[in-house]
Amino acid sequence: MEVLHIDMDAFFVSVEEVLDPSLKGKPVVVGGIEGRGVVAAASYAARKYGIHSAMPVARAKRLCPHAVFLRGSHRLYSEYSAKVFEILRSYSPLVEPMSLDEAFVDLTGCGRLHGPILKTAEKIRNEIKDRLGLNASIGIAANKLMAKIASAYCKPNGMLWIIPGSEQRFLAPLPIKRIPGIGPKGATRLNRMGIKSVADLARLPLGLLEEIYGKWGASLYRKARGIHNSPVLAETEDPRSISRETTLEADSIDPLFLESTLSYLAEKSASQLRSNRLFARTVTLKLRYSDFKTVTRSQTLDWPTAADHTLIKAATKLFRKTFNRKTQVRLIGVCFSSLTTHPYRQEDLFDLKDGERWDGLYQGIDQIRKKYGFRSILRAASDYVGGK
Amino acid sequence: MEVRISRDVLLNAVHKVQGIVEPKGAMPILSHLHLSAKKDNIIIRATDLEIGTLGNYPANVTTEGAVTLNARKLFDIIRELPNEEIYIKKEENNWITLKCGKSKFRLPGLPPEDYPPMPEYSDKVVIEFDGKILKEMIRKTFFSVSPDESRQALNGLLLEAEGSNATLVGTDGHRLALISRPVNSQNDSKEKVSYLLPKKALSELLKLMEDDDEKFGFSAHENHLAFIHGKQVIVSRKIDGKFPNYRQVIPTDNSLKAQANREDLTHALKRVALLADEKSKMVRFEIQKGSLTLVSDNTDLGAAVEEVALDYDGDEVSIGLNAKYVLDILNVMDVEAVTLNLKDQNHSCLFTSVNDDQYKSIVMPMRL
Repeated sequence: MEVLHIDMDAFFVSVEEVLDPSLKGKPVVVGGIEGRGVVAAASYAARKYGIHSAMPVARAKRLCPHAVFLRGSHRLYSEYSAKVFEILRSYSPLVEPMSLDEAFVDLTGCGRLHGPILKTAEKIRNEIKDRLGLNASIGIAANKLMAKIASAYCKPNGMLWIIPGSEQRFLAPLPIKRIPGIGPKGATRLNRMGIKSVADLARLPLGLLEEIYGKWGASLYRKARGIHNSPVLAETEDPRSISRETTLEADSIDPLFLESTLSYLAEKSASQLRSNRLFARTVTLKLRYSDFKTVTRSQTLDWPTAADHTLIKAATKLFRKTFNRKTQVRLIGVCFSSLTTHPYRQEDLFDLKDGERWDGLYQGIDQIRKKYGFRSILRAASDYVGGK
Repeated sequence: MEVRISRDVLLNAVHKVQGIVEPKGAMPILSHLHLSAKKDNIIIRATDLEIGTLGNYPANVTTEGAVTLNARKLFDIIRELPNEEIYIKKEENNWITLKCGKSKFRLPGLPPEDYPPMPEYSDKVVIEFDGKILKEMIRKTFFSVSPDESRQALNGLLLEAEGSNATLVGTDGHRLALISRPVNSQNDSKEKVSYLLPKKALSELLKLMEDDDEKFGFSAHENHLAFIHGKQVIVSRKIDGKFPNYRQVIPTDNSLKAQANREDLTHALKRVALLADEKSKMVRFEIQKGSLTLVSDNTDLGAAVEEVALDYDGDEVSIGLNAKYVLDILNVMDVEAVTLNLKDQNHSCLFTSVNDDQYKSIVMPMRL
């Protein structure tokens, strides 16, 4: 396999710079675009002051009072993102978007069409730069895992090819947190066991890792060796499922906070269902506890729906049945599956015909979001901040 | 207690009440039957605390008294016995000896005084049903009762009586079946009375009905309802809750009327439904002049189409219906031709028959 990981450098800020070249080289912070007062992106000049994404905007202002602060525009970034993806898709049909500014491209077997992989990557980078004025970093490797590690390594505005066969040698000296899937929490746990570098991790036998960390342990074993088999999946017309999950900033046992997070994730996934004109029949809840034990629970609905209130209700019901209130939750997620483009609904004899009114409501919400961003309108239950 | 009873009588009596006892409940005594001998009778009782039944059977009583016996074991034993007289005697510590022909059994019982008492019911019959009619009424409405335990009011049939007419209504919120039949009302005040009859009591009642020539009396007393049939009684707790206003959902202006042969429609629908979505069971009914096309497509299973002759002369209309709901109705309508009464694809479909304007079944459509 020949996989590229394209990661746009400081994407939101770079877009702003393209529109207003006077910003170039200055510390620029984009934040608050989705209602939350946190930094969404910071220019490399701003990062020198210690500003990073997900930091409260107020704190960023204290760190660098003379930085340029922009509210940003979700619509604008989406437009530029679409242009980037258009370029990527002209090289290969297998483009898997990870977010607005990040994607995998599978170029396996394209050698005769585009030439050597390194040259093709260079061409892509130049085309993005020439046509849009944006810098991209590209990691090239034999699988998605290595490509992502490579792009992170060569950032900003760089390119790195990890030649197949040299994965383990490349990984060995890196700190373990460079491996996707090992966050600060996981890194701390491993550090406590004396595992600091990937080489340390690679020395542990599979059985031991599995015993301590279960499935996550087994995946660590493979990742430490640069082994990763998941294919690059192009965004197809009808996906099999739509899901969202999040690793919480801090493990939580607060049912209100967890339910609110779940509501937010479900709301976001439901909105994605509607934008793909899909309806889901099955709702699955995923919880990972602080001991990395992971449970999933599913419910099949009576008929397919894309309505927030039905889907959130089902997800919340699953959560209340599953969550024992004793173990800290580390990750929470929701998945909608059994998708169909042809919905049907058994009408009720006695209920008022309010199905159409709901449809109207969600159409309205979706329109507002299209214009002002997802967080511009949100269910109250999805916006719980208390106790934090 | 010491008693002799015919094997066939006892087998029948014990068989009928197997559905009421709870074989593995929290209270062991509820898996038992209560047998008591008095004068020339043996009285057999069963209960699950929701409903209770009591039956009197002729027996040759030597000593009066009472015992309890495991209902399942007793039934299994009697079933295998030859049709000869059965002898039952209570021994010490609630042990029971049962003899028949050359067989002898010793069975452990539980103290009869621990058996839950029969709930109080009234002997005063409010409505008297002809067995045959009551059976028909239950059969033609029972399928539409909701299995959803969370909707208590829909877990049974609504019985309404006014003058010499009784109506049974069942609904699960998506469909509804209603039947009215003449009854012998003993209700002094000519006012309308209504009761909610629990599902389980009705299915047990159906088991009691053997001959069509019997009479069934219905009585109500505080929280309990009873069906009295000769020397047999089923008592049930009333369902709490309010049955929805069913009258307002019976369509009056469904002017598109299409008539089909019931058997033809049943067979065609069964075939097309084979490829309907497993859960929704949706089949599209495309009604045109002279014919009905049943369509099942858009599923992973494939597609099926079948045409049925139809007596229809109106505008074309297409409606999505749950095939199971429709088959349930066709299954109980014992007429040659059924009429589908429609308004449009968004309103309910009413099933009627020209031979019986006292039976109506309604199915809500599936919205596409």
